[in-house]
Amino acid sequence: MSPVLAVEDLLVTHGGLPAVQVPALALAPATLSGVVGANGAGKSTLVNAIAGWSRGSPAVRGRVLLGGKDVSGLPAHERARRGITLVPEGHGAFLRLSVEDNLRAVREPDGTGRRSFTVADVFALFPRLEERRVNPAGSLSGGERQMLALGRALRMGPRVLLLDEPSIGLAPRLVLALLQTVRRLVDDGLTVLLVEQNVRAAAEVVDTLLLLERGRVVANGPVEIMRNDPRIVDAYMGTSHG
Amino acid sequence: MNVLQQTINGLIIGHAFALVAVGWTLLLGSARLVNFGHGQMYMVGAFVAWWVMRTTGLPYLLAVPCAVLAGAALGALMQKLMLRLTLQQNLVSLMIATLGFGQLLEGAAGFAWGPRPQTLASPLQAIELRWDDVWLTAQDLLLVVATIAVFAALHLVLKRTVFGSAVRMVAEDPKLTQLGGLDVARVYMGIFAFEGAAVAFAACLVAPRTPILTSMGFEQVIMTFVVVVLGGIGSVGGSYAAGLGLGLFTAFFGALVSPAYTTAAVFVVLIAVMVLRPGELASAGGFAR
Amino acid sequence: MRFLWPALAVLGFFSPRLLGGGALVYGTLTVIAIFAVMAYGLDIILSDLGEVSLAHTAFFAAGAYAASLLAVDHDWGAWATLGGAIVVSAVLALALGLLTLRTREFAFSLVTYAASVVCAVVAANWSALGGSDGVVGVPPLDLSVGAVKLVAGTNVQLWPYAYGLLLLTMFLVSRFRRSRLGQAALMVHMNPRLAVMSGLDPQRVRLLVFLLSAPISAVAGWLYAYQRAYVGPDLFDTYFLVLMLTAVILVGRRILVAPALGTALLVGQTSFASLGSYGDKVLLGVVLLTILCLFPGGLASIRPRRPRPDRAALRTMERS
Repeated sequence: MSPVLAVEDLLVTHGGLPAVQVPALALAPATLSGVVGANGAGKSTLVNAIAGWSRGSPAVRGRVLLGGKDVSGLPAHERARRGITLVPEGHGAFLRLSVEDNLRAVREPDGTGRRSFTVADVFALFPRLEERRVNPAGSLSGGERQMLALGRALRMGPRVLLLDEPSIGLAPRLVLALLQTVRRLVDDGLTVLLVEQNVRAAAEVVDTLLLLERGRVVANGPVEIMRNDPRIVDAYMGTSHG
Repeated sequence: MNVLQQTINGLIIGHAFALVAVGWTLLLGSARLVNFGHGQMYMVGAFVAWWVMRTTGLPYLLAVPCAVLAGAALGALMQKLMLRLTLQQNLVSLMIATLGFGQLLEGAAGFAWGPRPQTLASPLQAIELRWDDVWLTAQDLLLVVATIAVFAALHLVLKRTVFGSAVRMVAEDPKLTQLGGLDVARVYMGIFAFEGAAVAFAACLVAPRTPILTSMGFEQVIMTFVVVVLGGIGSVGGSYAAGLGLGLFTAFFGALVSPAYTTAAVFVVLIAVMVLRPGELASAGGFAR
Repeated sequence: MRFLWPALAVLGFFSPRLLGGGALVYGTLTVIAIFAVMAYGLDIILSDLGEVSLAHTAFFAAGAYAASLLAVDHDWGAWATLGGAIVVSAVLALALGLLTLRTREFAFSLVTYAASVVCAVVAANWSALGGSDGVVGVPPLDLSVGAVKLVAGTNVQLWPYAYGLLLLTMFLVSRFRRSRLGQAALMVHMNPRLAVMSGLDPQRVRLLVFLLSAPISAVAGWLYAYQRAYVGPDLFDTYFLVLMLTAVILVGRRILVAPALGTALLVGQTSFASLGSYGDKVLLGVVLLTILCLFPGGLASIRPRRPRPDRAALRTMERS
């Protein structure tokens, strides 16, 4: 089956220094792939480059193909419209807008035949958001804001959803719940690339795992096998942080 | 001194201040851009209206939309020039760039229209309305009505329309707005064009009161800046209230103390407010309250 | 290489003669030197601290007004008026600095602009400052000390003093950049969070740099009063402010000779190749916009590109 998303010869440099180099990456449809690695390994840089977005100004070279079509020349908002949706690390929602405004103020995928989520769908998925629909997003808890950010992304009817560290700052119970929600969405047909610090939690839900080290993919494979890969076990599984 | 007359004068002047400031408020609140070319854009608005009337013989009320269109075009030009700096949020360079833009406009206007004072003649300026011992012109009334209309419309657009949400999002986080599939450049275009159109519109309504010169505009920037800062950065309603307050202050200070020092007095008030209540300017500016 | 700077300094001293001498050349170059000194005051705020001060023309004017009023109305000598100029500008800067101590950068710019406006209005209207007519009749510069006669009445005579002041200012700025305060200013500019974590107080740094920069511009104003023999509210013209800002950023940031070069280019243009007052404004606007929108690093950043770093990086990565 042809990949929904493919990356070829991706090279991201910051001020002349290389940050990420990925010769090839492919996401099969309806799969959940996890990207793990230490701080500074380049995980965020990778997904940002796929989305064509960044809070800084890195130089990005290489090709990004969505459903076989080259989108490398398109700016972030155009890629978002075509179905590459990124939920960035940290701020994923507008704090001064209400929950409902946040969910309404995205570009819906009308006329593209993609599965689109209505505001009601998002509320069904996250009932806590419905309870707070008129509250400004700034008054929500960290976990609720993450749900809101995810809800916004779903509203755009993504073909590929890029999640950057959705569990940061969340209580373990919430982390599990969020990741399980993502898993259910994947089982329903969504393709997701998940960047996660919490390797243990990620390993519970993903299909494939990629290990990123100093900007390069050093290991890649089905999670059952990757689980036992010594590099992953040594670095992350045995330790208490997560 | 006729208190009622001064109050009316103050309210009229206040509406003028508010209308001149409305475009700047939106621009500052949403793009963090301090437009030091604002005064020159005001001057160009007035002169375009005057020039249209003189060369085509169109009446005042038809010349106004022409000036507004020209103003919007000028705003669009600004956006094209400064988009990259705006996206980078390079505030220092943006401020200096608007100063340069202002000088460019002043020089170009000088070439086009020369140094002599002109009069933007509105037929409404001559119509006087009197009750007892107070009076105002029809132009004044038009000014007040138009200002209220513009503020009300802006408030509705910001709170109720899709474009309004987009503006509020861009004000908070332009990068995040992109991720929602929205073209931030287009939103800025709307904001910049509004600034150009609004200041030109204000010029058409306010400039008939005094002669216009291509070297003018300085006063307008000053008062605008005070209105926006006193009203709260980016607060549309606040600008309206601050404009009125400032108008009343100007009218009474001018009548009781000295007209020449009004500007200086206004600034002293501003500085005092900034010292006593720096909150607005010390924290991250909000928008659309 | 060690002799490059002194050689250039000597060459610079002879530049009016090299350009043909004559009243226009001496007059222009003297004014360029004076304005360049003013630009250096602005430069340390803009390039090192990274903020826009719109008050430096006011400091310049404060120095000029102090010099002229003290000399004309109170018969103070040149050294005394120099002290007066420095004190007045320092007081003004202290007031502004304290006002903006806790405000954000763009508020700082707005307040400096507000202060300029207030000064401009006061200068134009207050009869004690000469009102719109300004102060006339400033005597020739007389810095004589004891038996050493140091008088300058004409531009030819003033040139060495103006040039000397410029060199002194450049020396001062280069020392500043190597000093602790200069390094602190740079850190606050480039990485405020790191600066705070290193124990620096950004507001205090800003205040100190501001207090250092104001007298520099004021001393330029002091000399200008003697050069022009007249001081008036035209010193607060927006055109002049924009000219100085452009001069600072035209050539590049944190380059020692940049303000001097920028001032020379721009003031030289208005003197030797003026397009009329309107044309000069248009030109200035175009130059400024071109620099900021196309070459934000200044003219110095327009260099032939080095081989693209990413290809080199790829090669390195492939090899390893």
